[in-house]
Amino acid sequence: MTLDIKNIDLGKLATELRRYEEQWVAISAENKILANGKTYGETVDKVKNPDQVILFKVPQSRYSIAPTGA
Amino acid sequence: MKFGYQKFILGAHDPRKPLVPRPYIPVYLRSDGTRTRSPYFALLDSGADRVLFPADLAIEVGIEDIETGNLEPTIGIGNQRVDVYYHPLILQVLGDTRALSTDVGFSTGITLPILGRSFFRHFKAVIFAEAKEEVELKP
Repeated sequence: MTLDIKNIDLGKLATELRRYEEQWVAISAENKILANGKTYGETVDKVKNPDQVILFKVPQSRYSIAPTGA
Repeated sequence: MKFGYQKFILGAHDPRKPLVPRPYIPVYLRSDGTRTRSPYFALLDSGADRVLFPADLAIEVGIEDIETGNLEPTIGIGNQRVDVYYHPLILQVLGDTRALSTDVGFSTGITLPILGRSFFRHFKAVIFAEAKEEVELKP
């Protein structure tokens, strides 16, 4: 079974996500935050079924995001 | 492939203010033998030339030292310079089987995964439907 991305709605988690700014979070197929960590690896390590979650690096909410360049 | 924008609070939390929509795409990062264990959201950025990821993603595909890649200094909108090290890797969009060969830049100065126009090149069209808050990648 793979994750259905249509079930992931970060807007519904918007208030909760503010607690995890600049951290990675793992979000389940049921749109719940299952784990968090300072790195991608640390966060995935806490998840039982990595194929069933999506990770997200939470941006700081007090800033807009501008083009990066590169 | 169509993906709805994801929405975020911007600034002080005020329930009367609308959330800010952003075009995030779920991807895996792959090298020859390994793949990130979970997909993750990366931001489509039509203003960025290249694909840029935080350094901690590199170790997930077997890159122990990002500085073994090709150094290409990068400058952002605020004129801030960041040293970015590029490695030839593969991106895969969740729900798509295609392997998209792309030079991926890693830096400790990059905090969010960014898909710039070197990612866009793998598609005939990338359509930002702002009114629908949806992005479409046309293979």
